[in-house]
Amino acid sequence: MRTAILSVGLLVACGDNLPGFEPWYLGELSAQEGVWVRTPEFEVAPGEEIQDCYFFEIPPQGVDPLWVDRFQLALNPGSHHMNVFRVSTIRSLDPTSGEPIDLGGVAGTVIRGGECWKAPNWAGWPMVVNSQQSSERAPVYEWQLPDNVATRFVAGERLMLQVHYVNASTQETPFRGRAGLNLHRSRNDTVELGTLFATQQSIRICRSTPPPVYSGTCSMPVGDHKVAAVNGHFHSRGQRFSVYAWDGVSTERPADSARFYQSQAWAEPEMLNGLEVPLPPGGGIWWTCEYQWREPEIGCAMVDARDPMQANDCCYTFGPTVETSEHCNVFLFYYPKTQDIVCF
Amino acid sequence: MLLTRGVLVAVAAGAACSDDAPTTCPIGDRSLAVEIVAVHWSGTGTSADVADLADGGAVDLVRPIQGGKVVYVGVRARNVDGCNLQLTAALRDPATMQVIALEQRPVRLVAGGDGWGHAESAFDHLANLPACPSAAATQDLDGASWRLELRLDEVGGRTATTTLTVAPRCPDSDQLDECRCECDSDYELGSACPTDPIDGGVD
Repeated sequence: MRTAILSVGLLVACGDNLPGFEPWYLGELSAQEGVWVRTPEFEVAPGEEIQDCYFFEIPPQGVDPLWVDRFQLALNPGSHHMNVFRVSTIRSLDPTSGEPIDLGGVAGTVIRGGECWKAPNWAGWPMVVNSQQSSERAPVYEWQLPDNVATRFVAGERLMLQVHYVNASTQETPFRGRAGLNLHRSRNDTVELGTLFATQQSIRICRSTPPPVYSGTCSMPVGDHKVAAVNGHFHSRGQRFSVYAWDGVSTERPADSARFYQSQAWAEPEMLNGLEVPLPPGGGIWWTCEYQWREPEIGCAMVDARDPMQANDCCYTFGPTVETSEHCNVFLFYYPKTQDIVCF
Repeated sequence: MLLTRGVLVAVAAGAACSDDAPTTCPIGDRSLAVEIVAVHWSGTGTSADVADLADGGAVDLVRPIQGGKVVYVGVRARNVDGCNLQLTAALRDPATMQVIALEQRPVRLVAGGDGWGHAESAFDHLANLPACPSAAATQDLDGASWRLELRLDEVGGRTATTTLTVAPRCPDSDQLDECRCECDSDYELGSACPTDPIDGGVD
């Protein structure tokens, strides 16, 4: 009910007063409650893909470090993803070169497009949290971490909120783009959440070749770890995304009984949370992406143009643009944290 | 490249046709056992620069498009169907036998004048083994000896494997410091590079 009442109040203020659209609402958090971030609304013109990088710092709020045990991530319909990273070594995506911007609960900067598309810029930045859910039915993803588990931030730590919208043939943005993030302060959690991001860098889905399957592994550091949540990410050629617990020794795909995640939904893959999957000591995860080539609605010319081999076989290759390229990414959350992990 | 449409073979044999018949690309004599030889690529040049990999040989750690450092390794092969192959590559710690990197991908081999099938392209038809950073490595990737395992599987079940020792190395380039940093066993994601992390005494 609160949502409905406040939504009416917002209709005049925000630009989403379009027929049939009910804006999502996230409450603003006091300093005692946590940190809140809202991007402005932005247009996503027909045929356009937008990726913007918003930077902000965890504000000093009297208690340092800040432990967060509940995330709320909100997206207007049409988003491809929102990812949050901890900013580390700066390459060509420099937050200080961005345009200053009011992000609601924090001030920050934004870099629109350009270097925000280039993954090597944040390859060394640990992932914090992500969401791929932006349906009109469920625009807000809420995640309460397991008992006694929380994500740790320190005051002054810089984060990047990356938002990707598509308004083209594979995905549509019917209204305007907008993202929100609430980090809810935890009071007494002591076990830190760790993250794992893994991707297959060199993939190829071609018209004339059999449906390809790519697999990889990602090994955990020494210790006992449990998976708390996971989601997979590929584009519209993706058929099935699977993640397994893996013993760290075998070079064969684990048995189906070891599989703890499978998704066939490329556009709105659910974050599977509430897990308590123990990973074998000395092991990690095995993940598999299965694809089926399909005719691009925009024609093959743009797909062929991106092909490093120039095979003229309408081959989708690795890349961030939904219309013309493919991905095979794992976003996984585990505890207790030893370190944040990437495999690529 | 020799391409033989299976559908044409089927017609000649008087069997039923199917537009879905897979393309086959025989290389050598498929009545003989599959033979493979390990190869690697330095990340520069073309597939013509893919070279045989000797036991104990060096393999370059290369920054690929997403970031991190990979080694490009694969096989040349004969007596195979070059169009229906899957390559599995694994880098294993010889002391613990733990696999710290594994990748499995479809690959396509093209018949060369030497009777062997070679990777159609260096980038896509070799394994892109993600070596660095590695949260599981207990020794530096750069300069240490690792066990490389390669397996080539043909659709239908024929297979060949080879195992050898390799020495991944950070090439002498403008990425040298960054590479040594990311490939240090003490490196933790989010730490500043290219400063070489302080060793914890394990290497």
